[in-house]
Amino acid sequence: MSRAYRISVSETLRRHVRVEDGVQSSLELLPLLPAGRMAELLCAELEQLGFEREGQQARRVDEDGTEVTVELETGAVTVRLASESDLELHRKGSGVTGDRGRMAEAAAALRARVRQDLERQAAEEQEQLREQLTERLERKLRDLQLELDGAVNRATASALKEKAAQLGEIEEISEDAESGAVTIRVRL
Amino acid sequence: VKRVAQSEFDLLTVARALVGQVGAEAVEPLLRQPRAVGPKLGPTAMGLLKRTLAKGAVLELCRRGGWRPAAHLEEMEVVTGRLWQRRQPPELRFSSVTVELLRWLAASPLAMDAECKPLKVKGRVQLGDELVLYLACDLAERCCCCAPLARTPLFRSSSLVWLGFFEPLARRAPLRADGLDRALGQLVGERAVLLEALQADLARRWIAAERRKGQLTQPAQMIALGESQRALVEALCAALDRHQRRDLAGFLLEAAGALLRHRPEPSRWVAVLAPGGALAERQRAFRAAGALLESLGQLGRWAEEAQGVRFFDDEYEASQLLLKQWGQVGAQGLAHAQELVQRMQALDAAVSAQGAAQSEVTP
Repeated sequence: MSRAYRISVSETLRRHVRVEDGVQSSLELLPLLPAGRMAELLCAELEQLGFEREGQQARRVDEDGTEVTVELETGAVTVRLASESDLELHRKGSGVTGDRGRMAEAAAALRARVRQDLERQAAEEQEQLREQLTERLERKLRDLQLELDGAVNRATASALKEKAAQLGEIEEISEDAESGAVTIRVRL
Repeated sequence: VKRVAQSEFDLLTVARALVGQVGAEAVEPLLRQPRAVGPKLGPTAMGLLKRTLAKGAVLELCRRGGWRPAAHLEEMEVVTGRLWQRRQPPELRFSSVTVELLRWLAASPLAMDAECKPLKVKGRVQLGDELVLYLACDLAERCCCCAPLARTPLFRSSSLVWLGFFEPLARRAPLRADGLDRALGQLVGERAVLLEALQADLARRWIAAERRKGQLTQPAQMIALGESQRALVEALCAALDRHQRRDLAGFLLEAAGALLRHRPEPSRWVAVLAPGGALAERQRAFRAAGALLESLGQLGRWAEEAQGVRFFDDEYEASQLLLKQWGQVGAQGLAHAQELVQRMQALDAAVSAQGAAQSEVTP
């Protein structure tokens, strides 16, 4: 008569996970003045928005961890958001074997299966974390695009004024805050 | 009446379908099912194959665009007329590559990708072989069994096949940036006659491919397609520049002109892209969707250079030809293309599209 032997295993998976998402784009800055000067004007506007200059880059890290980097010469923008978390997952598994001599083998197979399940669960948790991160980033991007467009418009207006001053004597400047239109009257 | 074996008859039927002498529907069962094909062709079958290719290939080149009166460059001089009026008739040489390819097409069950044996050929691909490769892809695509061809090195190393069928090829594996430089150099150099004759066919294919982008749902598919397309256009433009054959980019301008004519919105390209996944991947897909539109910047710079050529310069006629071709897109088309690219590459482009898609389905 054979007997059934019950095998139980318990596994824990501890993992530090880091998820990251981000986008890249570029600012359309008209080449009204030499590239270096345009970069200066853009930088001045970005500094008003809380950016800090680091060499040829302007960088800002928001409270929610969003990192925005603008390459001043090329206008390339990178927005990145990262998040870290410590996962601790537990899982138990049990099985039955009728052969006492093969109990160790059966336990190892059961343990491998439990580990596989844990790995799958960890991947799901990591994906969930990434989805939450992406949602946060999406909410952020609309406002950020408007903010950066505003900075570019103001930098362009400043460049126009400088260019006009180089051409002759500025007689009148009128700005429409609503449409962003700038009219400059110059006496040549 | 000449008599041939059944397997030879099958092979000859495939050859006739390639050159348009029988319809695709007549050979579809032949291509989709496996069948035994003898190791060699008898002299009668070989004679018939030679005759089919000799007459059919030339006629097919003409049908696909060679008949159209057109203007092209020949050593920076403009030559006009139909294909056979513009230059000496090309010698379309077919090697054993064509025979092996036909044997493979007739024997392999192309509808069952996994069961197709790899095509092994030896020898250099000749001008006629290159045309046969292009026609074979077209036939297989019409029979909805292009996948085995897309993974076959013989097809993947043909620049003409890439230009015509980048969709199935990119679906299998993206184009490597430097993968086709040599082959493209050959195509726009000594084999330019094929590219000239197939301009209309290529333009039609690129328009259709761009329109199909709007049906892609997976960002990964769009990335593979768009990035291959970008690499292909960049390599083509570099080769055309090296060989002073910028006129051969006419099919890109014809396609872009037709696509931009009614000032489409970005949604035409990215309307149904799946909203899930990482934003980085979605944005990469948006960028890839505008690959052709982005490449117009390079063609626009060529047009600017052509505008700078004065009427007493040697290259004046050639420049006028390029400007005439550029007229299909023009400054307005370029401005619209640039606006589309800018909108598709904006920081919130992928986000906006999701929002728009959601609001469309909300009653």
